[in-house]
Amino acid sequence: MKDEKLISGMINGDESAFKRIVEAYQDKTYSICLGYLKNEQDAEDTAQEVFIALFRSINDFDGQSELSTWIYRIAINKSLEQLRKQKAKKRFGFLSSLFGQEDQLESAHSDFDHPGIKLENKERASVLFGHIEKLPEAQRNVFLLHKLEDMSYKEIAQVLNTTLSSVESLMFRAKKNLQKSLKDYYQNDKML
Amino acid sequence: MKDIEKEIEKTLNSFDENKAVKVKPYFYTRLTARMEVNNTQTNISLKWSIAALVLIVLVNLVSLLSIPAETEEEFDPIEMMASEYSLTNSDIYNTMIEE
Repeated sequence: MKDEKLISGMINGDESAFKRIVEAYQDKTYSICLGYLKNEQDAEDTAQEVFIALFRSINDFDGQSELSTWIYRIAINKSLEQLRKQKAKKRFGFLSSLFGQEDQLESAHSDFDHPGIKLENKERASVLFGHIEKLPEAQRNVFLLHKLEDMSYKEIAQVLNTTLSSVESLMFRAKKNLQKSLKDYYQNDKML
Repeated sequence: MKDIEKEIEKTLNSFDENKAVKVKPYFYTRLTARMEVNNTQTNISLKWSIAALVLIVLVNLVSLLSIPAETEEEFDPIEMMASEYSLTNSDIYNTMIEE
């Protein structure tokens, strides 16, 4: 069944239409959230929030873009929102620890083991994830969507609501920045 | 130096050939369960808000009805002026008797 039929089904209160949409996009949505949040439970919670947001705002979908584009855009926004909340929590945790309260927050997921990465690449991927975190948000978005989600530049431009040339430029700068920070990392590693 | 560049290149390409990630089974069941919980919580908080509003209105009504309204004494301006200048009927009568 095509997306348009599923959307009109959802608008008319057809639960099976919603179920089919969820089943069609749940894996990719979860994968996007996982790339940003680097924690399987957080990624699942955020993916659920994406579909709850979709359920609540399906009437606002104007059909100018693909449904997938819309869902992935919500997934990115929700993931970034979650990251901001985590950062705010960390700051609050730091303040609590200053006043003697126990900081129960986990340390940054720098040793994150992405389930989709090939075994022989896991160690390098973990290093790369750590360096991607340092990139500006726009560059991080483009790099993750292209490299981890295997999206084309055209798809990324649609999801991020920007131009193809902007995506190309952001990808170029992301690679440059990563090369530079990885060079520092490996040089210091060699010296140790 | 060449080694480092090779390392960087390998690390940058470490996401290549990754396999698609899948959600854990029964994702939809967990999603609908969460949506139901959210709905119930919204309904409960809505009910509490309505109950609180009704209670406030009732308390206001009860307090309005239980406190007797202040009755303003009505003053007749002529009577007021008469009493001010001692021109009441009884005064005139008393003066005449005294005379």
